[in-house]
Amino acid sequence: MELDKLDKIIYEKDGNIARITLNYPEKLNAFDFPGQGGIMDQLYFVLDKASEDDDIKVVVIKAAGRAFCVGHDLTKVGFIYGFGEGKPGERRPSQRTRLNIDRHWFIDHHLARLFLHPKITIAQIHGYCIGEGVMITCFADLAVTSEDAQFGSTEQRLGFAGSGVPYINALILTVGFKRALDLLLTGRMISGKEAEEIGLVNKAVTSDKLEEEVNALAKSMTLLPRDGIAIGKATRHIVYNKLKLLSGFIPGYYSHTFFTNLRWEPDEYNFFKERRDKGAKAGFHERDKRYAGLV
Amino acid sequence: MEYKYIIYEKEGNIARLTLNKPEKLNAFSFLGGEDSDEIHGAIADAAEDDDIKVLIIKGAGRAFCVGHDLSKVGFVYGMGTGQAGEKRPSQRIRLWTDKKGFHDQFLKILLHPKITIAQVHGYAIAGGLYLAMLCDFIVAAEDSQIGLTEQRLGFAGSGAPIGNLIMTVGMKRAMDLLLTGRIIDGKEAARIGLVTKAVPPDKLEEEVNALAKALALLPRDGIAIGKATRHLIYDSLGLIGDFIPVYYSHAFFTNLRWEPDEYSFFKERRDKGTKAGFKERDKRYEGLV
Repeated sequence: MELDKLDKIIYEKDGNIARITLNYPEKLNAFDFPGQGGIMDQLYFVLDKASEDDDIKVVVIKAAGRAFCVGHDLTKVGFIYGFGEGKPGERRPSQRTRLNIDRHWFIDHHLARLFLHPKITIAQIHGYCIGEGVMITCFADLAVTSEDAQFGSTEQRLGFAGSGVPYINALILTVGFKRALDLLLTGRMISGKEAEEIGLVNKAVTSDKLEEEVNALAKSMTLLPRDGIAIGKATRHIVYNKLKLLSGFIPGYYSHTFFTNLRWEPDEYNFFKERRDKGAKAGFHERDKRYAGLV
Repeated sequence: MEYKYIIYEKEGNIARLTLNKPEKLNAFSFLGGEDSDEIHGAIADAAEDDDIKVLIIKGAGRAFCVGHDLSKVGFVYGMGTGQAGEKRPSQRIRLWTDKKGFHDQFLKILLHPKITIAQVHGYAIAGGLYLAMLCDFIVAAEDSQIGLTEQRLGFAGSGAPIGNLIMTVGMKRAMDLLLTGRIIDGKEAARIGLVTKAVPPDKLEEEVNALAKALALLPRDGIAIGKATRHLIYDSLGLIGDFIPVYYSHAFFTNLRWEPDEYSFFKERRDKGTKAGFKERDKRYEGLV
């Protein structure tokens, strides 16, 4: 991978600030999986570049288009493990294959290269922030959003029911136990304003002010010395370890794999079946329609 | 199954457990007793019933639950009548009784394999509040009265699921609730995140039902894997082990020696009755918190 060959991420240096722009606007910055050479691999490639660059003190993660990130591409989820067409007679992928993929994704990527990133990280959120988007929000040091952004762990509605993500501990410690369970078990969307009220993000501002707000914040962080930033982040790693924030990642990946073994009963809504029969879009629209008027 | 102290109903994938001692504001024994046995029996039934995805716990009458029956607390260990010369119960009896009631039984609620909702109206205090806190969701009427009033008996910030409380409302708010034992309303409880949501009293039933229906959209295996995964998370955060200090400190508290200038609910109860006991306890706080 090379910096000048990236097609789904824009990486810019501005003095001591690196700006990473998720750049797959035609798919609302939907993510693929590690090893596929797309937005996921490219994001972590530039995060690594920023880690190693002594000029960089602050990394801003933002997005092009009308959304921050809608999570994983729902037309593709599941297939990475080798589920094939789901036809009878096909051999289902082994547990070790599934565990390897999920461990690689949660531990090598989310944990090692985002949560434990040595520079100060700021998420700049607008539009939809779902799935991986919420993960980035939780694991960046700071998050600023437009008031009308829409946050949600909607993937939980696929059947995770409060599992399969690395940020449960972090979410509990960020918004409190009850609010965390609400977001995870209902998978409901909340506005940037509500996200600020519950402390999921630091600040919500009107859309027209978002860029300047994040830039001012990033600039203030660049006033800190390089060694200070490094020691500060490393010290917080010790504290996060003690508070078991790092312990979210292992049950996160393990439960994500466990979920792939879920058996749906005939009276239960199965997104994967719906996708097979009617397509991904019908699948998640139907999934969410069932919640209308309830939460 | 015929119940005397609870009502247990199933409606599709939703089970409703109604605490049904309205004349006692749903005060229960918790530390052993026919009434608590019924609660735990129904909770176990819901755990094992494949139809059930969501368990709602609510209260009949004008309160959710006021916790332990204060006319009975202490006697379960064999405190006798507190007369001079009586042999005080052993520490092992106190520890064993508290472990069964506060640790084993409460843990079964926290670790319940189905999604749990506490539907709170009126008082949710002391053990009643612990019960609600152990559920995944608490939906409360805005005018509910919520507090850790038992702390005023002398626990002073012990005997309660403190780790859970800190992670729910934050350190400072947790210390406030524990050390003042004050009562807050449903609105404030929602504002600080102690309850998931506060709603107008006349909307409580429909709000809980809508939420339960939304949660029942999840697949059975998903609910089971989800809850089990959260057990791993709770374990890592020390929330499961939180019940060990609960029972341990509760047992230790029973050894408390009150000085002559200190208010002892237990002495007041002996001399003037339970009601006078806790009314006097709370009157001393008026105008202060």
